[in-house]
Amino acid sequence: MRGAIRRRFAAALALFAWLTVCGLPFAASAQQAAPTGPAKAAPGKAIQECANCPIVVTLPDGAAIGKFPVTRGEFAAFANETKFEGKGCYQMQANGKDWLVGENADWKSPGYAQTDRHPVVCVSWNDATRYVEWLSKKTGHEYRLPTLEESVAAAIAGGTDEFPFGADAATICQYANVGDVSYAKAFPGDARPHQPCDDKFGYTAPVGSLKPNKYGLYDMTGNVWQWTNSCMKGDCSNAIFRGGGWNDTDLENFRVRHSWGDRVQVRSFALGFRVLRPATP
Amino acid sequence: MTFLIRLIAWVVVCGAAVSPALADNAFVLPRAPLVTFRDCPECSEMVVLPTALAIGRTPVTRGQFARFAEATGFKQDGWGCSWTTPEYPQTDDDPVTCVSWADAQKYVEWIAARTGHPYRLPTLEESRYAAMGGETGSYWWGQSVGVNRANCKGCGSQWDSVGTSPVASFKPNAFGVFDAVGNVWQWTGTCVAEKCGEHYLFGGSWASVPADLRASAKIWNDLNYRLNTYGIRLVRDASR
Repeated sequence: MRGAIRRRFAAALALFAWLTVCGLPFAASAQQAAPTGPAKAAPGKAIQECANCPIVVTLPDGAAIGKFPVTRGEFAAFANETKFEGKGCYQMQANGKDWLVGENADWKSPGYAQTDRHPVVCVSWNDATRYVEWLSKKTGHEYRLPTLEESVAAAIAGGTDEFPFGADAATICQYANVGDVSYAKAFPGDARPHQPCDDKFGYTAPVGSLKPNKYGLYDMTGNVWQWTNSCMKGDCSNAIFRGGGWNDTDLENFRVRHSWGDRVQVRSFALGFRVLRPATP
Repeated sequence: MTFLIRLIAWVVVCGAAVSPALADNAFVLPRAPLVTFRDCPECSEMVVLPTALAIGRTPVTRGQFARFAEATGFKQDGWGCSWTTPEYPQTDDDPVTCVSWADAQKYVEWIAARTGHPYRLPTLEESRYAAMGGETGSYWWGQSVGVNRANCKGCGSQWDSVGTSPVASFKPNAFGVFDAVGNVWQWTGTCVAEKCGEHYLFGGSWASVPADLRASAKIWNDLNYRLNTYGIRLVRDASR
């Protein structure tokens, strides 16, 4: 009798131990099968919340990032509604070496011709954050600048290559508007060696003119540098930007992990931004 | 017996309060006078710290840097501001800004060659020590940022968030160091990692929040970044 109870007890203990050790994976998979949180949009889904709002594309983590850098037309909607003005913008001089502030240069007149489909430039980090604040109010969803890590992850698109477009630097002009043959024609006084290919654009290109990366994102490198939400190396009076611009000739600027940074007030005629829409809780 | 017990009790209870006062009067040495010198007319005025290290009483000024630029034909190019156009008005007595670590190093080497003394950039630890002036609070003047103590963001001076202030516009610390924190971040000789691709900067700038002026704060950057919040302070061994 006693032996039977002991056996039953031992069996119960063994069952309990088995459930504890082996039951967890079942519990986990059951949770995966029936998620309790909100359903995430499938990666690659495009969302546009108003006529002049930037299109964002969903990422595997549920956030969505601008399909393109914010365009001049999109920025104009904000500028008109809020009476935004911001003059004083760094412009590279004809020699390709010196940068001077154009006191009257701004996003409407950066120093070269643009249409509403071109990426907005001559916007500081302060200007860009005002834009995303406005966009958040307008749409009722939070929008912000991506962090450096988010921007890099979106650029590399799950890959491991040196460039957002792959490992082959020779293909750069198919994907990125860089300091190339067309640029050299526009800036004959620039003695720096340019990229030996032709992307057909001497200044900024209309967004989406070249090929996208694996996540369907355009201009993740080249065209314009893009502000991030990240402070620079311990100093939050500076912010980081990455991506490389239409006037950069050195390949280094277009590597996925390359970044630069400057004061949050600084504007440049090769520097714009891209928005990020965090995953909704 | 009762008297003895009372005496012992009195010493135990009250003696503790008396003894520090005695110690203060009896054992504190008078503060040593500042020892200062200048190795050349366009050199920084130096002050000798208790450790026998001499440190610039102020950051290197724009006027002092201009002598170097004239003598060596120094030029900057590429992205960003330059020391002659820092985006806000400056006088020759303002600290030079828009200098990268590489620019600072060139300046230091020129001063060393010009004077024959081993000038260099301070290490992060030397910067901290000199800035604290023997104090141990958040700032050399106390625990809170106070008003008009240094040039930083929201720190109560006319230069708040505008730009640099002429050097020595604020009171010096106990070591006789002006602009010990605030005004411009000071490049240090301390590398972030063994590869030395980045160096630390110390002290906070006119654009920094008060927390960045504490001795524990530091930032770092690549050797070719030049921002209008970065500057230079010199050190040299006082005995050589």
